[in-house]
Amino acid sequence: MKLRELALTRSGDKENISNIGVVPYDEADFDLLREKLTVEVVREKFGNLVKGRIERYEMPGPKCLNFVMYEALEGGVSYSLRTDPHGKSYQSLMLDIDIDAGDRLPRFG
Amino acid sequence: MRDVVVGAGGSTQWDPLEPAIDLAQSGLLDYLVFHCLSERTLALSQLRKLADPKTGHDERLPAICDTFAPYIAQGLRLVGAFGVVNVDSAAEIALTRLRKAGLEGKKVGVVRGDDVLETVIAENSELPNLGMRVGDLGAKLISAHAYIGAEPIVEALAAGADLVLGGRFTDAALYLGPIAFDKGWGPSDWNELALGFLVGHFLEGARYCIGGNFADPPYREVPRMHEIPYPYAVVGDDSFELRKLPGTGGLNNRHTAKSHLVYEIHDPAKYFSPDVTADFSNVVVEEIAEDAVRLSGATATGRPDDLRVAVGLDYGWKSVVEGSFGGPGCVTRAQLTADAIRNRLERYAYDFLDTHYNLHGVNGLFGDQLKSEIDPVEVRLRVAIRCNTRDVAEIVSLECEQGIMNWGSCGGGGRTRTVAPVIGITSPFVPRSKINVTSEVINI
Repeated sequence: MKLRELALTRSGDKENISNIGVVPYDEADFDLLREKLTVEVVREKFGNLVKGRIERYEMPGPKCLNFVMYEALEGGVSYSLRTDPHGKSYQSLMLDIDIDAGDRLPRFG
Repeated sequence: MRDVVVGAGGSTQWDPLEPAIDLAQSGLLDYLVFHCLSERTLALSQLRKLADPKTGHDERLPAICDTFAPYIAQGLRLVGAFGVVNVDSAAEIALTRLRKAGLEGKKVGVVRGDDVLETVIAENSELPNLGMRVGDLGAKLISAHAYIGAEPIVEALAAGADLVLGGRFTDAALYLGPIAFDKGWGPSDWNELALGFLVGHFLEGARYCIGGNFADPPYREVPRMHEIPYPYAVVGDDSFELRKLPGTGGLNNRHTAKSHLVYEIHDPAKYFSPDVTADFSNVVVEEIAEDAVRLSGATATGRPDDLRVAVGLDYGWKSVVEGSFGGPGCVTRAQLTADAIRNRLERYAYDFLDTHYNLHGVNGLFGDQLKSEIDPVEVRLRVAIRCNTRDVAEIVSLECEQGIMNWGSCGGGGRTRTVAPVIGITSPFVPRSKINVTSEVINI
């Protein structure tokens, strides 16, 4: 199913770096996302939108993941020629990632 | 210690004042805080100031003084980055307007020292993202402002300031300052400072942390988005409650709170700010009532030795031209026009720094990373070119416009054309000891 069934996301920007926080609706899905939503999976989805490295951080308290994507905004908010120089829309591309959630039924899908 | 109540006055210079007035009117607040800056605002304001030395501050300041004077008279204290790049002009405006409003006897705190242009030149600071030094920038260097912390705000409030203004405060420091002052926290009360920093991390986003940028039906619904207020925080000694006024729109629950917790952070265990290097990894988010969330568990063990500086650079001129195509074959016609414009513009390529062609509705946001099997009923071609010189940017924008309206594929319409200067921001780090921040408190 799509990540959108399991989690919400939010994008932020600092210079040429985009971050996407991933918050599972149900904290019980944190381990599933830790296993399935890897840097490789995210790299595949974003392709050449992200020119630099991607790092993933875990937040065990609130049970969230945070992806930090370098060289992701064609120079950064201040001078990027992208339609969306902040990368605000990246959160929605992240939600389109397919996650193998076994027998789980999507909530709305 | 007593609870301190801090409210958000907005998150940018473009936010309306009305939700801030609602908070002031509620009588709940001890402090109302205005966050007025973004990365680009400083350099753009610097350009305005170069053209007219009386500008460069937050243009809303006169209205803010007039509007909030009655509340300041009643004891509400204001903190804001109203100075932007011209703290002196902002101080003059605040003193004049508040005096006119009858606030003699009240005080204005003025924080200076964030403008470090001379320092980065003298230090020839390294620019890690560009692989060069400040001295290599030549005439491209426009401005340099250090991200400063909460200490000068604490000092100004301690000296009795009723309104504190300055320039490039770190966003969260604007909130941490009044909280640390009121609570009597010292500069090495790390976990307390981390709590105040967490409050700032939330409130500086204003509507963003209580339902703004959140709705995604049917997964996430936000009631009355058009009436999302500005949030406030009731700050205790080891946690705070994020709240919004009763009867307002928006949403404040564990999901909205977590979505803002992760906003614009990198390593959550090392969130650098001038006052504290915070660890948000173990923050606890609890829903304590309808529309009230309690947050706790931010920690810290120190703060960085160097301060981040925003250096503004002249990055040339940008031409952005758009035009729409619709109906059968619209994607093909738009793409054909884009290719023809690209060929036409080759004669100016000697002056180009960067080019970007895309079709809204097809590849504007995600390039080729997300494909649709359905043809859109309309698309919008966008051609963005960054040039060294204004002259070429102007010519290029006219060429693009004519390509869409006149000699490209059939049916191109609704064009827009803009040419604007481009400011780049890059960030060196400067030792704290080289930056001399002062606070002065002036009687109205």
